[in-house]
Amino acid sequence: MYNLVATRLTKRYAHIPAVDDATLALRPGKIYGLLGPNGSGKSTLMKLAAGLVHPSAGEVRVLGGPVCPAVRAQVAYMPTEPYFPGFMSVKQVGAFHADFFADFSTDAFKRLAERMELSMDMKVSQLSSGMEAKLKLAVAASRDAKLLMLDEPLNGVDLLARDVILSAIIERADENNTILISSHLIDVMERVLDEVIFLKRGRVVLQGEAEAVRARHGKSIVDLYREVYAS
Amino acid sequence: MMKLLKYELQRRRTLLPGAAIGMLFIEGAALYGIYRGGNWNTLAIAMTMLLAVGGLLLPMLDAVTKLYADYKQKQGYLLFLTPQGGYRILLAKTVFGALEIAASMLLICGCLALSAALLDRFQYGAATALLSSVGAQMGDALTTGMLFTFVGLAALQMIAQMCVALLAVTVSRAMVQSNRYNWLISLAMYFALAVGINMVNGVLLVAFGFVGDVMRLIRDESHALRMLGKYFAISAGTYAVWAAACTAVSGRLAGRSIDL
Repeated sequence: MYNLVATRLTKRYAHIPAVDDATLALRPGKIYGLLGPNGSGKSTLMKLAAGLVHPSAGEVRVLGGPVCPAVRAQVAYMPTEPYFPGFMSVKQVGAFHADFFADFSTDAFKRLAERMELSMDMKVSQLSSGMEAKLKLAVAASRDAKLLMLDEPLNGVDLLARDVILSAIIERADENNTILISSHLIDVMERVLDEVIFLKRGRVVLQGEAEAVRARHGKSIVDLYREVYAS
Repeated sequence: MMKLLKYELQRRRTLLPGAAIGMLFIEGAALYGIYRGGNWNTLAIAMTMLLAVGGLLLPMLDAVTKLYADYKQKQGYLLFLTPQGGYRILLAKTVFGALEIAASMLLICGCLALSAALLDRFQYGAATALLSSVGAQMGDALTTGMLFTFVGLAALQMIAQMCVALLAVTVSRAMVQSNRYNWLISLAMYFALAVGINMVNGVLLVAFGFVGDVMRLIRDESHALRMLGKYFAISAGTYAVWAAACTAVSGRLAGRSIDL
């Protein structure tokens, strides 16, 4: 049983492929790193799995079925862009998710917000980009979702907050859920990843267990990343 | 559904009171015109027309701009990441828009009643005189029936027009994702569909014997009330079917074809 299966998945924007014939299968109980430079299709792949965009060809199945509202109830996706409306307060963002998602824990959200130094009364419009990134992560990590997708969770976040975020991600991991993380900061993320997926121009060029990939190529993921994308 | 309606209300928590205050301000200007009388009546008429047209158009514009923002801006992720299907999201928007239109019409009717009361007070019972003369000509029951038919049909027509506008925005977004003339396509589609509604309604009225009924009415006025009820039912049915069909198509497209 896989939590996410993409089969020959393609997404084109104005005939230009953002994801090109990608095939992959993600198992529960693993933290996957979706790696690649800007424009390699990481965000589009996640949006396809979250149901925000629709495939041009191929298929994406999440938790055994096509992406539909019932599946979205068990999928937590943190986009890289800020998306909370400015009029909402941190508390209202939490209440919104508590309203719609049965797996959302308000207590966990409050704890995470406190750890990330987010005041419940602050308006989203008052938050800096780093604070909004923390809020997005607090929301996603407060859900007991089967598939947790985090698109660039460390973007715009200061050094100290990174540790809080990484520990929040690790705390969420268990044998039933799959965590998929995209990041440019491979050196920081490498230590939490079980498996890595390298995307290049929308295609999956390398996939495997982080440890096995390191052993097979005789180098760290960071060095391998440099080698793959420099060519 | 209630959760979606709650969110729609939450995001308008400053707009709705602001719009209500704006309408009351316009009504205040109209009342001042009535109070002063003479040439100031022009101000009263202009403000009353602005109140009626603005009050009906505002909910429709509000519904369209909010949906457009959900499709175009990142805040739409919040809504479309929830475990709610496209149908339900669009239905919630339609229901909320319909409630806005109903509330706006109630406010307009209240303002008109206030204006009529002031007109009676300061301009020698002009409103009562007008209503009495209409009532004397057509009978009180028919006058009341016409008033309710007019208000009811205006509300239903606005709801149908709003659903058409939501469909136009959705279709144009689904067809041409990132075209900067998206709004132009939406506008053209809206006008085409809006004309379509009225044409279909007109054809249905004729098919149900409108012309013959009018001829009979000229000969015998006692048919008027029955005829009013019949055509209210036909028009209301047409508008309801249009609104439901547009919402269903918009919902399907929003759930299956629109990329955010």
